[in-house]
Amino acid sequence: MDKVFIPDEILLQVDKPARYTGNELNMVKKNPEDVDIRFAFCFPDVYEVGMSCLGLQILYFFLNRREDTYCERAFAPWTDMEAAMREHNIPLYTLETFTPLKEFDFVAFTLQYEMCYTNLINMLDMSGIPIYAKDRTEDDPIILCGGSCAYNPEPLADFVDFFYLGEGEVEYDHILDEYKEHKKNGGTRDEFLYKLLEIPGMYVPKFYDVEYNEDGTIKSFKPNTEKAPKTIRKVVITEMDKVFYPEKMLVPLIETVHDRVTLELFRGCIRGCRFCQAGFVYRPVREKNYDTLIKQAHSLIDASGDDEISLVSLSTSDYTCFNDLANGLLDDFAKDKVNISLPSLRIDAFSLDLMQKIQEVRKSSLTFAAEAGTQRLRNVINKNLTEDDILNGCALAFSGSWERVKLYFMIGLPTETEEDLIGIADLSAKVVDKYYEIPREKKPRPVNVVASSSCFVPKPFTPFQWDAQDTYQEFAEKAKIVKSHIARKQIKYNYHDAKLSSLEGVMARGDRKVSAAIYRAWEKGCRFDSWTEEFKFKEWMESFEETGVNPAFYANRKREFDEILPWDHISVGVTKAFMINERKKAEMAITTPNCREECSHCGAASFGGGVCFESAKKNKV
Amino acid sequence: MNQPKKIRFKYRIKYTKGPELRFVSHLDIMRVFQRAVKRAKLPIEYSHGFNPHQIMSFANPLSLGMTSIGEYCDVEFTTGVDTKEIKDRLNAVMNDGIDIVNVTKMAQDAGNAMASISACEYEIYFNELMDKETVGKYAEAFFNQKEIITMKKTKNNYKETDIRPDIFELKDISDDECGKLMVVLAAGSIRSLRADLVAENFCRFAGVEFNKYKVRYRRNDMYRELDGKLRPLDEEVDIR
Repeated sequence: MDKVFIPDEILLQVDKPARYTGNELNMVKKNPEDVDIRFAFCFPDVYEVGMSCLGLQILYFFLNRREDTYCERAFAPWTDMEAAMREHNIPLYTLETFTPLKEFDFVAFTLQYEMCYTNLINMLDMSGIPIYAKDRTEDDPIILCGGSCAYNPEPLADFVDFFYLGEGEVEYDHILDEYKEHKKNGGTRDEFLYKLLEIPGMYVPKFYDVEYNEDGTIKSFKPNTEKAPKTIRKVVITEMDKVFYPEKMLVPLIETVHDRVTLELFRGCIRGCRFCQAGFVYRPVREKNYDTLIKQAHSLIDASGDDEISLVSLSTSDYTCFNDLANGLLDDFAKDKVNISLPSLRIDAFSLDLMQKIQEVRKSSLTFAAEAGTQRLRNVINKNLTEDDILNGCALAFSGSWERVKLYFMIGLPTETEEDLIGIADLSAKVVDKYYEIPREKKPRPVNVVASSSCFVPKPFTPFQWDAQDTYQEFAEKAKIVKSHIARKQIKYNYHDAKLSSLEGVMARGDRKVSAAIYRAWEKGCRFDSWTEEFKFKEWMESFEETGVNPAFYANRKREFDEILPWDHISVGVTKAFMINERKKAEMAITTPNCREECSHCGAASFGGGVCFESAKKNKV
Repeated sequence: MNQPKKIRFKYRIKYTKGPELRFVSHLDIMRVFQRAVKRAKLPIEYSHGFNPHQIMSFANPLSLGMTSIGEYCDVEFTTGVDTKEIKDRLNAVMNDGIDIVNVTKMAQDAGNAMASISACEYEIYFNELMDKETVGKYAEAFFNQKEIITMKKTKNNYKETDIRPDIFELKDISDDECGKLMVVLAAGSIRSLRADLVAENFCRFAGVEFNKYKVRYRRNDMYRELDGKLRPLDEEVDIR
């Protein structure tokens, strides 16, 4: 097939046409004729979101370092572009070579959040690729998914040929080598998928059968071929200083969500907050060393010309040499007017001092992820942050002339009572009080506290994976209670749309039966569900109704510990016994120390690297 | 006593914008240049305000969809750099689709590109709308009109305007590929005329239905007035 041609008539009429034309700085150019494998990396959301994804940047350059492979990109076209492409019969194409996705060997999607599933289906449809895996033929690409939502693959199991569980750098070479060999020998799709069963971390849904009980719970989940492993274990990199990291990144021509280069300090998180899926699925914590990071920072800035470098990780302050690293980067980059951006910092004297240095004038607001309104509930969720931490942090910030504070909370957490909800209002009020404790002459402007609450969504691979989620009506009631207790005019209270969260609750813990509802919702025009203006709640509810999928079964039902969960055939290294124990401790509001304070034997040590062996290493020295 | 005036190292960069970047907006092109200057490690000067930014300014923005072989950007450096070196270093790191064609040192008192501009030259390609015979038949007569009254967009609405005085030059440059016009149009803060409005009026004059998506444009150059003549923005800018 020829290259896709997009007439000016389309590009001049759609919003932000440069989303669809590629040619960014550092884009990899290869002649498709010269490669053996063509790999389309797809992000099931709009360009600006996808281009801000670190995983995309890493894998793009990782795959393209192979001479025999050309990795290209595709994003979900916004609704205006979709309409135009459908009207003109233009298939979805890659930005590198304008090749239709259908021509590729692999079409891979990264799943960063649940509410992108209709976009994935839509992108397959726009490519003319059969949506259901069973309908694909030898002429179709192999569809695979990775990313954090792949850890519960079941809602998409009918649409996807295989799931990659874990970090891409581990097994992609293996997969591509196998594929090349397979293609040379003229093998069939099925033969290749069967071959994948030998590679760690690969889940091929078609080789597993599910049986259900009458009540809809899972009766059994079994491989239907001997070669398929009973449990698929995620794969992780253990040597972070040796693993590939791009020396340059794609620099978009238009403004994106995160318009800067990103430096990844470590993977995983030592904290173990009980609501946080990332905190468990990315265990164990594995750090890069100081020299590696300084070197990577320089090459990224040199190759992009960006004026900001963002230090990313799940909890940046937990990096062991954080002070040295922050100061080292400041020393190196301040003269070139390169800013250091530090998301997810814990607020203390050092971090405030650091923030003073890096943003001398433009002071953004300070953010505290308190998550819950009372200490009891913070203990339940194992959020290691006390009221004193927050209030002392605020006091320091206020005397450093910050006057804007953001507080993040969740409502609907397990064991929550009215007292916890009122606690949100109370804590916000105490922050305001803190401001008025400092002398009048030091506070020229009024204080401004924004308290936001999001709706708790129980996620797989967390101690709360068995819990019932509140219904959206309950969420709305709870938000009302919080609001009614907010009396100070300096506090602004925001709460998120509960309908979206309740749908997210269904997707997060869905099984294979949920796929029918996703498909129907897509048929009814659902796309970009995480975009408020596009979210079609009514259509989603109709889809559940029409496909006989009861959303409450997935979102609002409490499971017993012995129920077979849809993701039980997948292992992230952390054992179920540990999760059960954590859930029981949560009930009693007992906290668990972080990985550096004390090992809690979660199971992640079985990967043989990272924080689990830090003290052993120290002892040796 | 007068303080000695600070010497400023100002340079005017002439560049092209190719079809690869046709759909990248003016604002985004500015960001492309800001990054390129940093990659090239050129000694860019920063403003001394609260929020320092690179001292860099652009001439007349180019409409989305147009290409150009004559765009201009003024920069200020903290120290003098050889103009050929500036050009080479920028070209070495520049995005595909932009080519630096000339760098000129600017005189201390030279006005910036935006303020100096008085005209722009465009080529208009009519593609399937008009062949070379049609353009050839109407070009001279169109240009020889005493007035060309059309609806022109003002801030809030449309107003009947005579655009003829703002067309300084118009020539038939058609070839076998398609009908083409070269036009020189007023540009700047006082008077300015868009090339697509000329194309639309020319179509109407020739009795051809205008389709804004079929016509393509390339900007050839931008001019300032020197001694009553239009001269490219980088000519003599090192003197005055």
